[in-house]
Amino acid sequence: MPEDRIRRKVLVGGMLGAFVLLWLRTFSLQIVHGDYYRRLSEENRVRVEPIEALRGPILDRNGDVLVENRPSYTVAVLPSPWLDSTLALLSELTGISAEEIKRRASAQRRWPRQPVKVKRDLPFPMLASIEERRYELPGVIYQIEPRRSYPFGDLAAHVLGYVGEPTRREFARLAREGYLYGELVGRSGVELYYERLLHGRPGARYVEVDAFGREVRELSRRDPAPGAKLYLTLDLRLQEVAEEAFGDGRTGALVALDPRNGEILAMVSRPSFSPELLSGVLSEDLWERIRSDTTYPLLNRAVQSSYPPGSSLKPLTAIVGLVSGIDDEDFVPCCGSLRFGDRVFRCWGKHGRLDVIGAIAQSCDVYFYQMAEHMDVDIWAEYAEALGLGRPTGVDLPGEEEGLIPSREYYGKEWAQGIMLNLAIGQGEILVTPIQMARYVGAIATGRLVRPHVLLRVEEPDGRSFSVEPEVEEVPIPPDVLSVVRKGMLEAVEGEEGTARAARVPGVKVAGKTGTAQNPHGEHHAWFVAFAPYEDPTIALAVVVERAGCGGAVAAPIAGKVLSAYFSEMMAGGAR
Amino acid sequence: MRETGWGILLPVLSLLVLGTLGVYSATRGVEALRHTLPQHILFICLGLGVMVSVSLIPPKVLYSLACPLYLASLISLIALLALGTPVRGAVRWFSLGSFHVQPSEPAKFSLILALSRFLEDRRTDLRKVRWIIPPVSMAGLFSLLVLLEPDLGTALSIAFLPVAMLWWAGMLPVHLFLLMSPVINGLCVLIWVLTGNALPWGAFVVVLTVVLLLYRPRFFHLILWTALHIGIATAVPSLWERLYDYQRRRIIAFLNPGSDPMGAGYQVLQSKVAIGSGGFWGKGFMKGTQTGLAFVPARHTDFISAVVGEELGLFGMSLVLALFGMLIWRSMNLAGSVRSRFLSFCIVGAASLWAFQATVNIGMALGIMPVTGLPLPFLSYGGSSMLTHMALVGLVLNAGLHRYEY
Repeated sequence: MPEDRIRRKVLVGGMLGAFVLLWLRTFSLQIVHGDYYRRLSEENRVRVEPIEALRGPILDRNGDVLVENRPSYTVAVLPSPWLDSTLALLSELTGISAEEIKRRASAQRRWPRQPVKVKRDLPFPMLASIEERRYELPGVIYQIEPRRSYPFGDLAAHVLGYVGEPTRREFARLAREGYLYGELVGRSGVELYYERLLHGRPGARYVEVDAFGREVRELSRRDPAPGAKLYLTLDLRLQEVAEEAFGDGRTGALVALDPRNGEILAMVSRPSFSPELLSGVLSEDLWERIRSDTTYPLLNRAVQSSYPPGSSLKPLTAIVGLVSGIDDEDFVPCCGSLRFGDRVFRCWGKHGRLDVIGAIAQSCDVYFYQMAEHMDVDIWAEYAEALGLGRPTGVDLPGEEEGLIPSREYYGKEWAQGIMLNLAIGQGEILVTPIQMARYVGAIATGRLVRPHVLLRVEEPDGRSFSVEPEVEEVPIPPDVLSVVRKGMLEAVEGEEGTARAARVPGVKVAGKTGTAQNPHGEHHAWFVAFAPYEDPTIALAVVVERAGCGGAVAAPIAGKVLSAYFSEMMAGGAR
Repeated sequence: MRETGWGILLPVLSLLVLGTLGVYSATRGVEALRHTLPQHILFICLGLGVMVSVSLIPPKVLYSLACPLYLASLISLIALLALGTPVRGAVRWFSLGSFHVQPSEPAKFSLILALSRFLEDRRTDLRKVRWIIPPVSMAGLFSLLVLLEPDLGTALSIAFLPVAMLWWAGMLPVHLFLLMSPVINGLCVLIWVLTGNALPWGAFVVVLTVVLLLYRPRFFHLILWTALHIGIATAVPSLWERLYDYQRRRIIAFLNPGSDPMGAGYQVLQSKVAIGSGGFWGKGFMKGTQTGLAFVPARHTDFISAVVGEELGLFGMSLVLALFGMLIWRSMNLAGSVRSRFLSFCIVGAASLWAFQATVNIGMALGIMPVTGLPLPFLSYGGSSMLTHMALVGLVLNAGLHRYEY
C-alpha cells in the first residue's frame, strides 16, 4: 500500500531524526566545546560549595523568639598549596597560628577541597583589616555563616541548650546523614533533643573556579532547606518571673507545668550559663573554666539532678495510708518524738492530736511515722511509681535522671520497718528529680499523670505543621482519697497553722506541700510543690533550692511569686 | 531470511558487547559493585535464551497469549503498588531474595502483544474515533499504574507505545494531534504559570484552532473538545495556586528532576563534563576519569552512555547511535514486508520503544532531556530491562522467520 510506505517513512524519519539530533548534540559537546569540558574534567575545576541550611528558630508558646540566627563572617583559606607569606600574614591578622591552621587542614583531610575555616564570627575591625590586604592573601575567602543568637541571654538556658562543633568521631557519623564539615550541632537541651528538626538540609553550589580557586561562574545550585520552627510550651513572661524569683545566688531548680496536658510553662536551673557564649567561638580556657566549675552550671538540675524529697513526699504516704485503710483513731498525739523499737524518731515540732488533713498541713512527722509502722514498703513503692516517681517522665530533654524509689528487695537483709518510717517522710535512700515532683503534684491535683514536654508545635518550612499530642494516663487511686490529700495541701497554704503560708496568692486558692530534705553534705535542701487553683488546677510546680534550709521559708516564697505572676497574667490577658 | 536475521542480531549483539565493556569499566575497582559485571553477563546469557525461545514460539501461540499476559501484567502492577516496599521513595521492584523484579518492564512486552492483537482485529475501523479509545485506555491504564510508583520515565515510554502503533495502524494525523492535545495544553499552561512565558500556549491555541477549523468535527464533538480545553487551561493555574509549597516543589521536581534534592543537576553536569571531555576518540577504554572516579552517579545503569562517551568519544557515541539506527531501520523494513499484521504491529511496538528509550536516555546524559531514570536498552545494567528487550528482539526475529505467513 502506498499509504503504508508514507506512514513508515514518517515513523522511521521521526525516530532516526531524533538520533541525528542526539548525534549533533554529542558533536557539539565533544568537538565544538570539547576543549572546555576537557579542561573542566582534567583540572577538576568544579568545586562544590556547600550552603548551610538555616537552623530553625525556637519560639515560646506565644511566638516570642527565644533563639534565632544572626549572620556572621568566617574567614577561611582554600586547601593547600599555600604560600608561607599568606599563612604568616593571615595568622598575624587573626591571631591564629600557622601551625593551628595546618593542623585543622590535616584534621579535615577526608574532606579535601573544602576551605579550612580559620576564624569564625570575625569581629568587624578584623574583617576590615583582612579586606584591606586582600591582594596579599590569595586563597583566603569569606563565608557568611549563620550563628545562634539568644536574645534573652541566660533565660531558659538549660531548656534551650547550646550548639557547637561536633567532635571528629561524631562528625564521621553525621556526615553520612548529610551534615557538612564545620556545621554546628545541638549540644544540650532542645537544640540537642530536636537536632533533626532544627537542622534542615544543606544545599550546594557547583561553581567553576580558576587556577587560584576564585569563582568564575556558578554551574548549578541546590537551595538549602531551612530547619523547622519550634514553638515551645514555655511562656516567656512566666519564665522571666521564675528566673527572677529564683535569683542568681541560689542553686536548684524550678519546674512549672500544666497538669492537664504536661506542657512545661517554665523551667529554671541554677547556676546557669550563657548559651550564646557557648555557641560562639569558644576559647580553650573558657571551656576549661566551665568544665572544671564544681557547681556544674551546664547540668539541668530540673531533669538531670535527683534529691531526697523530704516532707513534700508526705501526700504520697497519706495516700498509701488511706488506701490501705490504716486507722488513725489510736495514733498517739505528737509530743515532738516517737519511740519505735529501740530508736527515737524526732518531729520538728509538737503538734498534738491531728487528723490526716492537719498532719499534711502542719507536716507532722510523728503522725506519718505511725502510718508507716503498718505500711508495706512494696505497696508504698508501687504508688510512688504510679505517681511517676523514681522513673523517667519521658520529657523531651536529653539526659533525664531516673531517681530512685527503693523496694524491699533493694535493702535485702538490711531491711527493718524503721527504714519505712524514714521513707514515709521522704528521707533516706529515696531520690526524685524536680520534674518528677512537678508531675507528681499535678497527678494528685487532677488524678491523671501526664508526660511533661517542652515542644508544643513544629512548623516545617514548607508550611506543614504538627502539634505534640498530650499523653495522659489515669492514676489508680480512688478520687475520695485524692480529695482528702488535696484538702490537706490546701490547708498547708491557706490554713492558719499551715507550713506553706508564704505561697499564698490573693484571690486564688493554692494547695501545696513544703519539704526540707536532710543533706548529708551540708545544709538542708528546701522543697516546695504546689498546684492551683485548688478547684480546677491549671498549674503545678516544684521548686528545690539546694543547701538553703527550710522549705516553707525559702522555696514556698519563690513559688508564690511565680503563681501570682501566672494568675495576674491570666486575669489580665485571659487564659492564653 | 538469513539476511534479516543477521540484520537484527548484529546490531543487538554489538550493543550488548559495548554495554558489557561499559559496565566493566564503570564498576572496576568499586567494592560495592563487584557483583555487577557477573550479573550483567548472566542477564545477557538469560536474555539470549529468552530471545531464542520467543523467536521459536509459533505466532498463533503468541497471539493467543496476548490477553493472559496483559492481565498478568496488570495484576503484577497493581500488586506491586499494594504490596511492594518502597526503595528511595518509590515502589518499583518486587524483591525475590537478592534479586529485584521490576514488573513495569515485562509489562511493556505484554502491552505490545495486546495492542498488536487489538489493532489486528479491528483492521478497518480505526478511522473512527470510538475504535481509538480502547487501545489508548489499555496503555493509559498501565502508564497510570507505573506513574503511581512513581516512575515517570517508564510511564512515558509506555504512553508512547500506542501513539506509534496507532499511527502504523492508520490513525488519522488529526486524531493523533487531538489525542495528544490535552496533555500538550496542560504542559503549555504549566510552562506559562511557572516561567511566565505564554508563547508555547499561544502557539498551541493557534494550531488547535486551525486544526479544528480544517477538520470540522461534528458540532457536538467540537463543543465537547473546546470545553475540555478551556477547562484544562483554567483549572491548571487555579489548582496550582491552591497547592501547598511542598506539593508544588514535588511537581516541579517531577517534571524537572534537575531541581530535585538529591542533586540530579549535579549528575547531569558531571555527565556532560564526562561526555564533552571525551573528544573524538575518547580517553581510551577504562581510562575515563569522570566516570571512573565516580563523579557520575548511576554510571552503570542510567548514565552508561556517559561512560561510552568519555572513554570512546564521538566515535563510540556514533557507533551506539548507528547501531540503534540500524536495528530500527531493519526492524521497520521488516514491519513493512511481513505479511501478518499482528507481527507487523509487534515489530513497530518494539522498534518505537527502543527508539524512545534510546533518545530519552542518551538525551538525558547529554543534558537535553529531563532526568527521568530510564535505562538504555541492551547497554544498561538491569535484569528486568535486559530480559524484556531481549524478548522483544525475539519477537522481531520471530516475525522474520514467519514473514511469509498470514
